[in-house]
Amino acid sequence: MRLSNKPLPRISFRTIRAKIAAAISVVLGLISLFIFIFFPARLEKQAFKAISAKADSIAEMTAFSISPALFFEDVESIEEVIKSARQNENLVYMVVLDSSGNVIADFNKDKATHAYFSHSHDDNHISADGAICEVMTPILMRPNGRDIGRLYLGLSLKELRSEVANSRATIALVSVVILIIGTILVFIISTLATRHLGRMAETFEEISGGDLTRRADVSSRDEVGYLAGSFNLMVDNLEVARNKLESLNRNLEERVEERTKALKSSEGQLRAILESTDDGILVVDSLGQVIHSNRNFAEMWRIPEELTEEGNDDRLINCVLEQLEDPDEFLSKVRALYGSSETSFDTLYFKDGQVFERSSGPLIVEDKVVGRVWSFSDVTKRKKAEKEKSSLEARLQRAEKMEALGTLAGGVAHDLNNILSGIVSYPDLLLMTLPEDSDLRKPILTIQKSGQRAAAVVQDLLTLARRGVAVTEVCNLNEIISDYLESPVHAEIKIHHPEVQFRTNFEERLLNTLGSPVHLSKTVMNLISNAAEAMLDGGEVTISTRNQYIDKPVKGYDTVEEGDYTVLQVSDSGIGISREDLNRIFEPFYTKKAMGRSGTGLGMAVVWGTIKDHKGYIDVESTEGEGTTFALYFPVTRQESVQDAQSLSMEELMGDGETILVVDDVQEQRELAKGMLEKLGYRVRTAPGGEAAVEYMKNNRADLLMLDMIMDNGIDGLETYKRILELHPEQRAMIVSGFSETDRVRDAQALGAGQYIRKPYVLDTLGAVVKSELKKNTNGKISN
Amino acid sequence: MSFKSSMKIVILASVLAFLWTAPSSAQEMAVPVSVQFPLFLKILVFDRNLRNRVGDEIVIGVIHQRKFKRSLRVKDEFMDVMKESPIKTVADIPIRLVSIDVDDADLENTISKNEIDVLYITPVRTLEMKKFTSLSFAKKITTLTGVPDYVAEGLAVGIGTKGGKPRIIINLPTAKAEGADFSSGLLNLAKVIKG
Repeated sequence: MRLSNKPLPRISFRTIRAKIAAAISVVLGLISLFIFIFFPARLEKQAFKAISAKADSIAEMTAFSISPALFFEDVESIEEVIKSARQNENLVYMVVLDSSGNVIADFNKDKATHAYFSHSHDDNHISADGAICEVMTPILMRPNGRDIGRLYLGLSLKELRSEVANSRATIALVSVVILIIGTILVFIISTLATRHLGRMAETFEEISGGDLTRRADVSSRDEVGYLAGSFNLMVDNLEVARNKLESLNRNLEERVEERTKALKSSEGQLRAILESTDDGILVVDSLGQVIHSNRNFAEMWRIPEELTEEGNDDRLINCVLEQLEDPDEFLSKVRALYGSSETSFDTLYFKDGQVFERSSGPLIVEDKVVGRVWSFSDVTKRKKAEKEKSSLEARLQRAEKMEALGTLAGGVAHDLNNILSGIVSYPDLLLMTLPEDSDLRKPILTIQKSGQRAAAVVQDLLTLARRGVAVTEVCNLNEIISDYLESPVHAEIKIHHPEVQFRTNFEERLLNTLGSPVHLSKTVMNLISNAAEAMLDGGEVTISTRNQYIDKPVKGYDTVEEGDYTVLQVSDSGIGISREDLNRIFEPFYTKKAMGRSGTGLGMAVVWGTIKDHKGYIDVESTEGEGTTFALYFPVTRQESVQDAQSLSMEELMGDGETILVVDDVQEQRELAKGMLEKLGYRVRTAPGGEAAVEYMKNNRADLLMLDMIMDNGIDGLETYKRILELHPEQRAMIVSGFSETDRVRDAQALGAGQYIRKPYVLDTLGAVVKSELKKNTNGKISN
Repeated sequence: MSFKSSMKIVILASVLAFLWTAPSSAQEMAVPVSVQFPLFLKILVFDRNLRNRVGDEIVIGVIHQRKFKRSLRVKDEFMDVMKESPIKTVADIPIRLVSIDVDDADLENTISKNEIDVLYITPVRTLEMKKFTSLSFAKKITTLTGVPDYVAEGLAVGIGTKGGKPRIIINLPTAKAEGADFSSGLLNLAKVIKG
């Protein structure tokens, strides 16, 4: 493995050899050039100097030689000297002058005349043509040095020039030869010197490529050999070190791997812990930058995945703030907590209704606050549950209140119903015996109607207590409302509220519902009455009906479950109901109205009770100062109305002598029922209780059982029916009770019992139901 | 006409006169005194030891024989030439002539008393040059003569002729014995007698 990623320089002409050769060649060239230029010039200069010195010497010697002769005016001797001097082939001229400037002797005087007369000074010099070195020497008389004449001498430089030229040529040749030879030698030497280096370089390259087994193969006993040896030693050490390093590295890698695994495991655990909680966890540093968050956080805050991955904290915080009802407050609290070591709790309310509980604590590492941990818990359901619980508690309180009231009412109602049975039922018998034109008919009818109204009041109480027996008939709200609007009660309301307009908006093909027309009518009355009373200065009350399918539960005042409904809606533009009152309007005796003016505080409680008895739901929307709308949802029934059945004539109601067993623990009820049924042409048997009825049926048969559901002593109507069914599995039965339809009634009906009528009942109702039940086959189906 | 030219004429005339009148004997002078005198002065210049031997002046003793007319005459000419010559120094040392009759005085004492540096020997009769050279050797006195033969006989410097021109004759051993150290330049010009 190469330690460096830098590429090795490619071998090019810029080798050491080439460099050395080039450098030395250049040096040699320069030296040669220098030699070629310098030495000839120097030589020439020196030669000239030599020539000049020679000339001086010759002149001096000649002058010296001539001096005595000149002193003695021995011209012959002078000429001898000159003659002797002429042996020098380079002598061009020589002239001896005395002190007066007269030429005493000369050689080649013409040339001399041209030479020395052309110059104004007497120094040694080169002639203008450069061919002669001219010297002038005074002839001095020895020993006193008296100037007795001058000697002019000219030496030819031709030979000198020639020699210099030759020398220059020779030097040039030698320089070139030296350069060439030197270059070749340098090349050879550098090749020899770098040969080993090249091999070493190759070896080094292989080593740098990771092959530490390679070694430089140079054994020369010089610096290169020493270098190679040192390098090999270095590589040995390097190999050992690398092996050690690799070993350490492996060890380290293993340890790192272990630690990484442990860390990952720890991280995984930590993440698992964070992900295991239902809370959304967000961890930020001291600057508010997100360090970590769990999945729940993103899901709870509905933060898009791409935002989480993007890591843009500003966009993330904006995404969060947009969802809150009060983002500024949240933000200010968050900012106040940055860097703080406080633990903080808060509740966050979302625009969409979610509620989070937020807790925040400092993130402390080594006793230092390095950030903050935010924990968010979705308490929406809990809050809702608490709210519902509160609502349920309120309702429970109401229900308990009502139950208490109902218990009170129930105790009274049962006896009252029985008492009222006489007032309601006996008039029928009396009317059957009286002539049509009898004066007593009218009072008796009045008594009956009064009794019926009293019974209705009792039913109100029982309804309120959810214990009243409601007549379960197929009825139509449009008809009920219409009947009510034409009733004297409504007329009275209109009189009391002359400025209130009543408007209807009926669904034409309104579906039926199962219920008690009386209670439904009472409900309508209560709603309309309250609506009118809410508009002190007049206004409009709108009564409307509609069919409505609820495909998913609607949360309103009440939660309307999925299903088909026929809806009664009463709206007013009155004063509205405050939020606090809205939670309590259905409480018994909770009224804002002046006591005694209208109502007894039970009106809305009865409405509530009625809607619950009818398995319906109620929704209230109200705005103070604008008005209120009540919407009552009644489950739809596909049954046809039994009103047609109740309008049968007496002949049609008469029986054919079928046997009917009347089971009732109250003697008067048994006698009453017996009387009516016999009147209707049935054969009647009675039993004072469930056990007696079962005993009777062991050995007898009956075409129809008329079961009182609630019997104080012994088994009730349902248990009685069950036991009788064991004896006679296909026994027909109808149920009679002074209470509202209960679960026991429904259970009995589920077993096969027929219709249910409420005490007190009239002859027509009794006759119609008996007729209807007897028409059914033993399997409970109506026979043709 | 320059002095030199005049001198040449004089010299030439003297030579001619000498040649016309000079007796033909061994005592005969080759060149006239007027020619000798400047030459001798020049020759003395070439004595490198001259300053070491002489004092403040160069005293030239003119040796003559009163009774020998020719000697007397040469002496007188020598003295006259001296007087008339513009050259009064040798190597810037003034010269003085002293006439010395060789017959009258104790030659040695006279030489010593007059501090003679140079002796000019005129032609003399019946005298051997040894008489002079014994003294000149002892007292380191340079002997000059116009008689060439005297040089051969032992005097140091004489003037002869060669090719009609004056020629210096030097007895080198005598010159050395007399303490003279003539330069080679002079010797090259002169006829040197080596022994």
